[in-house]
Amino acid sequence: METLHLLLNGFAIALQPMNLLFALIGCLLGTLVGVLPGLGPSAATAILIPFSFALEPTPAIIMLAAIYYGAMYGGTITSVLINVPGEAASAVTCLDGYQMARNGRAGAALAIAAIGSFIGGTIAVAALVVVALPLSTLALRFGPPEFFSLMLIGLTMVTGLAGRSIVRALMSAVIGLFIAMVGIDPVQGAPRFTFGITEMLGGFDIVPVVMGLFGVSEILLNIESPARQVFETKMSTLMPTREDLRRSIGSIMRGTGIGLFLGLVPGIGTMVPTFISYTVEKRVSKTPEKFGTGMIEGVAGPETANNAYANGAFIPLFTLGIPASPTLAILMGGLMMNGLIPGPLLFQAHSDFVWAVIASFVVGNVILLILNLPLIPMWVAVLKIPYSILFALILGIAVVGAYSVDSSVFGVGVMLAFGLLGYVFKKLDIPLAPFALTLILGPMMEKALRQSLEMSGGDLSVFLTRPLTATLLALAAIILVVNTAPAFSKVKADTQV
Amino acid sequence: MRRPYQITGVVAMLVAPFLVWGSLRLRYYTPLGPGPGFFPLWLSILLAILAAAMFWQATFGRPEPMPADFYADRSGYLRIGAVVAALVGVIVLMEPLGFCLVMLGFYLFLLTVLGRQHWLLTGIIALAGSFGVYLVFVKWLATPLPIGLFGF
Repeated sequence: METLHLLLNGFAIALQPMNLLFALIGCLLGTLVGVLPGLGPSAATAILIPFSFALEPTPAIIMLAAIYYGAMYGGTITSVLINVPGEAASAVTCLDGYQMARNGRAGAALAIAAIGSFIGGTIAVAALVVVALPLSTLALRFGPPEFFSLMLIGLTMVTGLAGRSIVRALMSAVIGLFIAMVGIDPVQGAPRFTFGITEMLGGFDIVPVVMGLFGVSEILLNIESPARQVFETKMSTLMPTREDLRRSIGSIMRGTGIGLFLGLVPGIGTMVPTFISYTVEKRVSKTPEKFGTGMIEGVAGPETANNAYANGAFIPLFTLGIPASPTLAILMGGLMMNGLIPGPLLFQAHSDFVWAVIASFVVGNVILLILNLPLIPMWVAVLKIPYSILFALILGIAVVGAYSVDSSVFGVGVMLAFGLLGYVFKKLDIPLAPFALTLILGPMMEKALRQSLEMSGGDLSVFLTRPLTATLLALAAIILVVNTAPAFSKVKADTQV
Repeated sequence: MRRPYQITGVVAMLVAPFLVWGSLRLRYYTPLGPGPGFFPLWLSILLAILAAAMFWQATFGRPEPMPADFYADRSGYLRIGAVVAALVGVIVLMEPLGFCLVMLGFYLFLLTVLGRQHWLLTGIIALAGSFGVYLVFVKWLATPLPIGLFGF
């Protein structure tokens, strides 16, 4: 009953005209930036974080969260219409979504994606409501050693985001941790790697760093090649047929289950649920050979799984302070910049805020469903704007954003520097996700480790004598072994050739 | 893709000792536990090990195929150079000249050199992106932006 009361109170706040307005603005901005070629949800969220600075924390985070799931849906639009996934999670949607578009059924593909996303997202929010309080109450019993172990689990998950090389993923993670170390040491106040530059004493602000890494680097990659994606798909009716809906119901339900379950596992990444959902849909289909030719189940399942995962991933973020993806790590940075530290204390110290944000997820999902179907022609028009104009506009917005973080051109310089670093990383196929996660988790993990050792007078056995800590560390070790074993056997095989 | 990873490995191996040196100048351990140098030292060592592993894999492992678009053509690098130059110009000139003038120049430069749009469209976007954005941020969102010599 307490949860229901808190949730209703959250709805009362989320439905206040100003909060509703910012949820709407967030959905529109997120979808717009998600639609822009080459900018996925990570870059979109990073670039738009500064727009929240002038707001109170509640509308600010409502808007940022709306930008996050708006951008996720924007990525779907480009997958269906121009065969360019807005982010990795939408990649699988290209397979059947783009084929549907080529068959003149882009409207049905986008509509079923929106409907599936709404159902998956709403059920995931319901799960968040049910488990949030018990999980955060449990986590309140955590001391620094438990938090250190928990964050270590988050970091070991990095190995799951390794892509093709565990060495490159770990290098990305180490560099991210090092960047996080720059500035005044959090425990003793000693400056680290600041090279006498006053602006670096406070460390690198997360926002210009991620704007550069994800946004500017993407622009540099896009302008490098003169090739242009031109929207040529014909649009027909926007509404799916009764037959489309009948075929999609099962896919949507299965996608919801897959996305929600995997959303509870921090660090699994956004791509895994969609690919698992696609594989499941193909397995259960009576005509698996038709997948890849425009099967609506191939859009409904993965898109639902994607949004159920995106909303479900807020459970570990809000209750334990562990971001499940780079975009959520960026969002976590946005929360922290507004003075809100995700984790169990969030429910205690800022109860009104957190329940308003959870309620706003439902509101945002409704807004996306209502807005996006009639607005599809507008997003199509956006896709027709030449990239040579778009990139200048995006860069201009990024400059304003980077400057407004601390009203200094230093932020713009940081954005440019990390933009170039991100460009090199992408060229070398070094994943950026571990960098983003360690950048956010690193300082908290260091603080928790040092507090733990201060508690125990420097005795490392503090991590083994507390049952919960020992269990969490064992779990971290298992994750590390499971994730890295295949990679090392591959290295061995490679070097034997 | 052998050579790019070898170069990356070597660069990281050269950077790592500098970071170890920087970390050793910080206190490694205090009576209360790890000092400010504890984490950076171990990270530097880990970076060196990973750099060596990358070099080893690139040299003795199966080479990954080089993507066709790994190197851009000359015009591609010139376009990147133009964007970087525009951003450097913003960094250097924004505080002395003010947001509006610098962003006006930024858009005019990028849209003329890289966009090659009609001058009227270029002018409208440049004015909206500079003076328009200034009005929205400063007047509506109350976010300060640099004011230059001319008071805007």
